[in-house]
Amino acid sequence: MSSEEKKVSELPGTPPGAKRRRVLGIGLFTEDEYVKYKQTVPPTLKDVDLSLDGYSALGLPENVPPEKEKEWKEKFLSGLKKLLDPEKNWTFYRPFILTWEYCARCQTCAEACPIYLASGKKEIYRPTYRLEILQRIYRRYFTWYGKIPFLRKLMKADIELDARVIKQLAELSYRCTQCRRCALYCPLGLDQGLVDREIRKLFSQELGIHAKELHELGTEQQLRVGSSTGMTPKAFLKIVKFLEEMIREKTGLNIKIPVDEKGADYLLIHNAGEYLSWPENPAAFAILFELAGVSYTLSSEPVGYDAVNYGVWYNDIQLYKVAKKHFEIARKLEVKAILIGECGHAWKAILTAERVIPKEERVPFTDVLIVMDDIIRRKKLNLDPNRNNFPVTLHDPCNKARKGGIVEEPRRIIRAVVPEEQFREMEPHGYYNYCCGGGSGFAIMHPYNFDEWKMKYASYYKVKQILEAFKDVLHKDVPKYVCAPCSNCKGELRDMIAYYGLWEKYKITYGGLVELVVNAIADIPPFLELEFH
Amino acid sequence: MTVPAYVVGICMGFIYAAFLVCIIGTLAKLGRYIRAPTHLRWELYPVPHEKAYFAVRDEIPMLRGSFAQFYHGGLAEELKEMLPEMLFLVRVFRYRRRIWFFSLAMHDGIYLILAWFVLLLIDAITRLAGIPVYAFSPNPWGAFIAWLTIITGIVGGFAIAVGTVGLFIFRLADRGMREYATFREYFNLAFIFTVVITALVAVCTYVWNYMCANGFTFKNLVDALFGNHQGVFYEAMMQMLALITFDPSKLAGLTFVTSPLMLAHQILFCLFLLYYPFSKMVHGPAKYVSYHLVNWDDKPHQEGPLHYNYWGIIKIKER
Ligand code: SF4
Ligand code: SF4
Repeated sequence: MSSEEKKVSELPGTPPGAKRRRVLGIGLFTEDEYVKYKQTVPPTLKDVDLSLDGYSALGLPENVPPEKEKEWKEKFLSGLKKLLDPEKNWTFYRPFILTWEYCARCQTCAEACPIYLASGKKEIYRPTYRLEILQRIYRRYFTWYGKIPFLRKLMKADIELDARVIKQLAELSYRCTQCRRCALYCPLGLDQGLVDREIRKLFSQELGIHAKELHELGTEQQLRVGSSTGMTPKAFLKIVKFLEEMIREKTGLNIKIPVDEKGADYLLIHNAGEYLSWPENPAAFAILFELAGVSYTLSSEPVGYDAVNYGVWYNDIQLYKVAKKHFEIARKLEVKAILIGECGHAWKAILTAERVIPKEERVPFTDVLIVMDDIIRRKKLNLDPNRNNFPVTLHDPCNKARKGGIVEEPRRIIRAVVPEEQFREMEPHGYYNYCCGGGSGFAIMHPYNFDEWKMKYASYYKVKQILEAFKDVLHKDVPKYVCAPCSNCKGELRDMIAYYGLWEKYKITYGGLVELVVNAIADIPPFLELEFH
Repeated sequence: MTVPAYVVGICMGFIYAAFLVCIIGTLAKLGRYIRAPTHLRWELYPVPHEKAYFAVRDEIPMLRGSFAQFYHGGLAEELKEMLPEMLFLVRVFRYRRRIWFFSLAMHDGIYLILAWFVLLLIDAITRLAGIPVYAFSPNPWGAFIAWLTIITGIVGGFAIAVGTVGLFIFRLADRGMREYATFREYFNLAFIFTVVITALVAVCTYVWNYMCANGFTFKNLVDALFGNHQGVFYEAMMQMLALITFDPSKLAGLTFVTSPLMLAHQILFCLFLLYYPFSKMVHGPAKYVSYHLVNWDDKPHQEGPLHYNYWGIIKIKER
């Protein structure tokens, strides 16, 4: 592994000063190196702070006026206090304080982190690095020994808070996919992914610093317009018509997709990105549920047609607001349960947000993978696995598997719709899978030069795994399918296949799970075309 | 060299106090986490017991019964995962083998010493019942637990010493561990080591002197450890007896446990007990909370404390 790790850090574009040196705040650069590096960047990046590692996810300004710096500093420290307050931060106090107090720095978690490993073990990407920085700041400002200059070094209370450090820490919280693989490795059951989330929360709820794709264009837009894609109810209804048309063309079936029908069994909520980027996915669900006789409805109410809840990655208040809306709409439609589509974080978000919803406002919920598994095990369909006679591997979305407990279901489904010899597992898989690199919102974040960072660090292990899974059939003549039952994973897969040229070189493409199922239904014409766009 | 009786008496009082503070402090610490507000669901799979999770499916009429065959056990499954983790540090073995040996030596050494205290208690009770307890006791039970006490104590003590030294060196040598360790981490290791090494040195000195005086035979070695009315473990048992019967007179005539080095050891040990609940080392008991109440907490429809003034800015739900 080590030679490959090296290779990644030697790829062109890797910022200089890869050795751990904290001359400029907590980032990679010394002052000279940073000045030199800044001279090489395109004009659009000139005013953006890149001092953490040469990349920017948040686009924070290079120069911060002193008043702003003072305000940030005060807010940061008060936010840090709130994080450690059982009442003010009741939503995550217990897991957070355990990690805060007991992380023994045994560094077992570092061996689990795909980003840290892919970076060639750059110190700033180590899972415990964020906690370390946070605690050094805490010790510096909130302990007695932090107030005594000559004790600071010894007690590791030595990080002075200034605008640079604040910006770098904010950026740093967007260098972890919150895949929580590290938590699975931790002998004490502690969670560095959560620490990342809590830092983002501190920045968002206290300083108003967040990724605009998650906040302004994300939850805010979703609550205002109806979807984080900007899709209005009117546009949504148009798309439903388009889907019906598409189904007719592809299969000859005349299906009326139920919208706003009261009293159905399920309220099905897709990630709205599906309608725009992968319309065959919601279309496939419409076909599947029609043929299997599942009673469901879509909603055309704002937020009711978009399952995403980005709050789960960065902000409790937004998490609550969006989840509340989902439950409200389900109650209005008098459904028996909410059904989350092929979207990983939407599943995790509803699991997580459940406890901020009062019992009387809560509606049961489940996941489409569970329902599809149920349909198949009850043998409601006439399936022909040979329809999917091409190599298939399954990418477990972290939010469905490690964070959501759904691992066996997609495998039972695949075994029913793909010939046995064509299905292959990636190693490791299931609970121990690697994140695609799009976790925690990265899949929808494309600002500045952030895409390059994602591809090189966050997605590297996935690419490696995919190639290994297909190593016996890499030839260009054999089209191959990476099945990812999650919109964000699909977004990231699309980007990485393009970036690493996996389609041109190896004919590797990707898609959801329901497409495979519908493609295997023997009573209708084949549904799936193996293409990449 | 002997120490005055009142010093021994004070020392005994200190042991009671330290023991109580340690137990109460640890429980209070755990109570703080257990009583903390119900946090949002943040479980991490695989969750060894799957019951609650499947309940989510069972509350949906369309799916009811459909997944019954996948039910798992409850607490038993959790223990199956937890016990090997505690005893053999499975995760460290799998993912960080470099520090596993020393980490295991220290942790299992501590478990052995805890077991050793229980054994001393059993020794003392057995003796109270009138059964002679020493290595060559004619009573098989008395002999058995005496040997068990000897082995557990010695192996445990040496294991802790080796483990702490090894981990200390690793902390200094491994980049990741050195950069991220605070003064306290080194202090904790050094503290444990000092407590253990004082006892080990005292034991070795006593045994050496005894054998120099009486000859280097196996029998003398065993007698110096746990003989009839003599030996280090015999005296430890007598001290346990004095502690559980609140009777310092039982210490009369004991030379080992009242020697200055052993008194120093006991005072250090008490200081350790006093320090423990307030240190990072409570991670042992706290691990129960992080697994049972966080990573494996998949209980559906539990309400959080919605009335709280969340983040100091909003009430998430007005009631
Ligand atoms: S494995 Fe756990 S205890 Fe060890 S450094 Fe990582 S989070 Fe801390
Ligand atoms: S959550 Fe994932 S990306 Fe973040 S530190 Fe842990 S292993 Fe690394």
